[in-house]
Amino acid sequence: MSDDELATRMAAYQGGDMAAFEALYAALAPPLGRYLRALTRDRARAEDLLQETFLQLHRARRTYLPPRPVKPWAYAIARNVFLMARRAATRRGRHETLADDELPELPVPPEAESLGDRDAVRRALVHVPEDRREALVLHHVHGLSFREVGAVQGVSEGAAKLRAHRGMIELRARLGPPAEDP
Amino acid sequence: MSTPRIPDELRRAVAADLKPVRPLPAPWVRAAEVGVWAAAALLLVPALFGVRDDAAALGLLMTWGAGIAEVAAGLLVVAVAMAEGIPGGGLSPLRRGLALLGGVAVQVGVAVLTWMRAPAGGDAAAHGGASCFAMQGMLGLPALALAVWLLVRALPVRPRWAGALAGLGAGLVADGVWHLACPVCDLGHVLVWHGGATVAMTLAGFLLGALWERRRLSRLR
Repeated sequence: MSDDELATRMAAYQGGDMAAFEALYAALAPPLGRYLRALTRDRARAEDLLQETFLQLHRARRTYLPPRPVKPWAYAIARNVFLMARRAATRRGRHETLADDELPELPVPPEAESLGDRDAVRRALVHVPEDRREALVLHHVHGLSFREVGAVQGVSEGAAKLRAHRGMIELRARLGPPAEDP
Repeated sequence: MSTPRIPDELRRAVAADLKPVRPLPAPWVRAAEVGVWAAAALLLVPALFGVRDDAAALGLLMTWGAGIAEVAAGLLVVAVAMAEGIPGGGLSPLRRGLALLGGVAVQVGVAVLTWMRAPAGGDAAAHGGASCFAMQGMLGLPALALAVWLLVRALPVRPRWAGALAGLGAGLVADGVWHLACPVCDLGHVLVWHGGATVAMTLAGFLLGALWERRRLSRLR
């Protein structure tokens, strides 16, 4: 669904149209789910947070200002839900860590696919600092512009670009030179 | 690719509260609501307390001009706070920091310019610092309450920042208004008591933001 279509559906949803909400859910739930999986690295937890994101999105639907793009608004809410959940978990003294042999749920940026097999890229991505990895994934996997990535992360467009760039450099460094064919 | 199914619990929650909503007005429009209070205070304070005794020596520009400029700067900072209430619509950390520093610079600038224009000062004994602090608090609290109410009706993703900005804006509005009535030009008095009131208002906004965040945290499943 294009940005214009998303904005039109969002306006209809604000007008009380359930079908518009269903269309928005169909368009936004898969990418937001992938984004939350990239943040949490846990499929089940990402599912929970996705539902919480849509609940928050519903409660805060009047904060969407047409005709602004919907995606940065929705991703910023998802990010906030993740950060709040992480803080809540920290306050409860619950630290969730992945076992070493567990494959992290990270989407692989198309630009990084040539650097190695998908599993290797996923494992390398885990070691990229969170803010850089997030900028990298938002831009290269979710297709957000750097301006939109900055809006989601609460930083300037230049800072978002720098984070993604440094993330890609770090990813390349971790994967090393591509293996030569025998 | 199959269409994702909306979980029943989410569908029920949405269907139960699907009344039409109007999008929030733009941040500057919401800041203008605080401006209504500021305009009323700008009219009421000189009417109730009289314009400062040294107004003739200071001139129109350094009396009304400086006061109104400070109120305008305060409303601008409130507008920045309102933008923080829109997910994905806030400013970068650098710009937020500049808004905070800019607000402080306007208050200090007005204080220094007023002091340079009338270095002899006024009757500090008749206008003790504590009374100025209290008056500014009384003028700023309604502005702060209104700004915070407008903020929590939105969804500030950085509520402590948003609260601090709202508090600074309210503090600047109060100082701009009280600048019309307080005849003391002494830099120490203005920076300590008037500046202290603005700092207190900023901290109050920060704390209200932190409380709101805490409440949201406790509600999170």
